[in-house]
Amino acid sequence: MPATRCIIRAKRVAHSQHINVEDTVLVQKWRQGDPSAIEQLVCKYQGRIYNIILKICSNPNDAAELTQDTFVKVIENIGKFESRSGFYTWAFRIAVNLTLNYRKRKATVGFTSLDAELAAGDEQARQGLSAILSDDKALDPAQIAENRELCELIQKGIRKLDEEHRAIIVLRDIEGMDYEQIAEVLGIELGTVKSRLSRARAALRQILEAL
Amino acid sequence: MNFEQNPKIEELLNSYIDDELSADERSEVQRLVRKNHTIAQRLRQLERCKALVSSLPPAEPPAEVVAGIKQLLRSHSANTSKSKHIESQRGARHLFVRQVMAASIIIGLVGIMGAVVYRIVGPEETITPIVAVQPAPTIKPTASPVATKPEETKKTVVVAAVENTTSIGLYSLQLQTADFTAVDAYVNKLLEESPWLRYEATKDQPGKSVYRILCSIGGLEAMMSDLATVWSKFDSTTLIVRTDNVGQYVTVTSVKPEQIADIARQDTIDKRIKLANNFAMLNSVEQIMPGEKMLAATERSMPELTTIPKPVLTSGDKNTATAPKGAWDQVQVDLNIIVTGHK
Repeated sequence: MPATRCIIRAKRVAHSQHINVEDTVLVQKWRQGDPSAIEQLVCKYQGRIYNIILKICSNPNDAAELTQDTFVKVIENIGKFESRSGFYTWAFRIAVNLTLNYRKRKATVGFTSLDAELAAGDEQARQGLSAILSDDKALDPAQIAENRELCELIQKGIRKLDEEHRAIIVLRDIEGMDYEQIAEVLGIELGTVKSRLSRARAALRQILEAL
Repeated sequence: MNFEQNPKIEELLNSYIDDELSADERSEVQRLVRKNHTIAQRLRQLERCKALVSSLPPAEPPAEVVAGIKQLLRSHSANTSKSKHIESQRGARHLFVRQVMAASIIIGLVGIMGAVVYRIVGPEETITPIVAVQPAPTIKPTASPVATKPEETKKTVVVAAVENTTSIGLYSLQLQTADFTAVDAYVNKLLEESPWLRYEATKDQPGKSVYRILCSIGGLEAMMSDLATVWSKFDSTTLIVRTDNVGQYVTVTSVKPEQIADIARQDTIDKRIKLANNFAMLNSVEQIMPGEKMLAATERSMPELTTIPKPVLTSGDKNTATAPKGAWDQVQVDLNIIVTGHK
């Protein structure tokens, strides 16, 4: 089949399944022997994949290693990628699975010094967080992002969540995936996504209130 | 309201803030929020919690991660091009093997076709040299008591020079008889006692004997003369004569022994075919008008065709030493005699 016809067909399939057309075309080009296509895909997603891995595993060194491992897997297995899902969800699924498996292997690593760190935390940031949660203070995302101490507190709160809740919060609220994409990445039903996300947010709120 | 005991409302509120509800569901949630202060407060808490997490700045991957991934891509591209080169080499080798195989098959097919064509249009098979053995007269033992040695038979080897001789391919003489056993035994004995002809007998079916005869024209005449003695025993006599054209034959039904000898005596195949056709026509007319004398319209004077000289029954003890005239001549006749009984 000529390359142009393959790409047109891939685009049509991607449109019908609400898959990112640009990614689908790049995958198709890579299969037809264009090495620059995979480079474009890697450049497009390397930052986002590193970010969610770091948010889930909480360790920059581990995140760097897991990001590389993810792209090794992506490059090794892209020949088996069947385009039934989008490249985006497929790559993120690899990343999340690698990270969760890694975390399970190193279950003891993580929160050993968290309480001590919290004890030494900025009291002002804690008060600010409490005010935001109690609905007493107006919420300005830009201000929160600039407040390093507050961000640290929030990240510590996320780290206190269990793996499943942390992963779903990261995918929804940080990566901004919709429920269907989350279901695909985590390999769970749509109803499970709703209930798990609901429980994860409730747990996070409790953790943040307790800080 | 305890939301832990009403997880469905919590889920609904979460779906509302994540914009995962349909228009109807959204309206329902908005109505609930307007009516119920607790639900409205919970919704705000969830929105704030979500906003807090969403506000976290994205972490940029360290430079070494990006460099590592680039290195990974470069090595992958190199491996891909190397594997492509290996694959192309493999492909070329595979193609060469296929071409060699195809050429071998074509050569084989051409060879087979050549053999088939040669067999169809090639020259007729030449008769293998025949060495005939003519037994010398038996020396009878004397009454003398001294002559106690076993009887010795002197044999004279006569070479019938038939090398490179093209035979007269009469093809076959089909004889059908009701008295198969007696007639076949007679034919068999006749051939056995005619040393000037070579024959091969095939009797692989009951009630059917096939004799391939190789002999001179004189030998054929002698054999036909002997066969004439039992000719009346045959219900059907058919001679099939070859023509120049492959697969075409002239069939002479109700053929007579002297007609067979006459056909064999012709010096060219055209003359043999012509005479065979004449005999075929005459015999068929004779069958329609029995008792009438017919003459063949051949150039030379023909013997009486319908009046066969009455055969003289010979005794079973044939004198092999007295061969008919011309019997030891060059082998020219190749004839299959097929004797069959009635089923």
